[in-house]
Amino acid sequence: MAPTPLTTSGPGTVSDGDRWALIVAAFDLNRTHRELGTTLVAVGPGEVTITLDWPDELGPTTSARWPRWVLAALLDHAASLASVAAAGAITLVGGTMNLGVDYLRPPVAGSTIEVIGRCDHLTTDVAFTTATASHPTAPDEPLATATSALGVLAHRP
Amino acid sequence: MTTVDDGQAVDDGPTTWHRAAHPVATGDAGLPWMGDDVADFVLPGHDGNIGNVERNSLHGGVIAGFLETAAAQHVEQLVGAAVETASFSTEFVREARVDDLRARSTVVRRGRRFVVARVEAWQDGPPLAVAIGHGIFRVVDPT
Repeated sequence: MAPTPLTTSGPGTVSDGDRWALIVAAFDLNRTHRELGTTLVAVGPGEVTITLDWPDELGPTTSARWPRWVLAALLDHAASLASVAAAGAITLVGGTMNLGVDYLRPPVAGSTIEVIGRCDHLTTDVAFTTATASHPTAPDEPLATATSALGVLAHRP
Repeated sequence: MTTVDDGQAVDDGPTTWHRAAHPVATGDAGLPWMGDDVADFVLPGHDGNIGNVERNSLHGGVIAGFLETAAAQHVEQLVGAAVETASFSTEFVREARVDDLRARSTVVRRGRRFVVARVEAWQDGPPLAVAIGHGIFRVVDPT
């Protein structure tokens, strides 16, 4: 289903239901995360939480590891969705312009990864975001943190 | 992913997990190639790596992960030990279409405990970079 962009005067002016529908529509546009099995968990004003369970196809947790690239993919996705949540429309947010990731500790095989993305500041041109990955069982022990900037395609009304 | 069709196992290609996890080192002739300070890689184009189906563009997270994985593989080959990424940054210069993405990793500094690498990716030749990455890799159990 094609997404229906919402018009809004800025963050906090969209109802919770509309915001959830908006992020679901944005989420559906990303084929990579649909294939990976990433799940949308929570949506707030400029904030999105996603999770990814350990996929059986990676093998037994005694010998397999999370792929090196998985945290970057999740952090980028959460940042992008948070920007849409802040902007209030899918069409206002363009691609990621940069993504910087600091890796604090490796993810544990078999454990779910949770990523919270936040849009910290939204201008007419750029959405500035931060994102943090952790295991839900240890939210105070982040696996990685990221900052990123995304292009904003049109001036908000 | 291997599926079963009428009792026959059918391999319909690598899954997203394995595609993105294993960028292929390649030389100009399409043969595996890895030098000391410079190494070339390719992430084959695949619909499963789309980040936005309306723009038909590659997912930025996949691009960043590809650059990081390529650089890490290069560094591991160079130092002969496993490495962990300490930090990695990616600048997305152009939108990437669903096509092969080639990358060249260059080791900028090789220390005993840390290695700094830079990676550039393109689809239409080196002058037109799609993304540029650089990272710091920690050598696990340096000898």
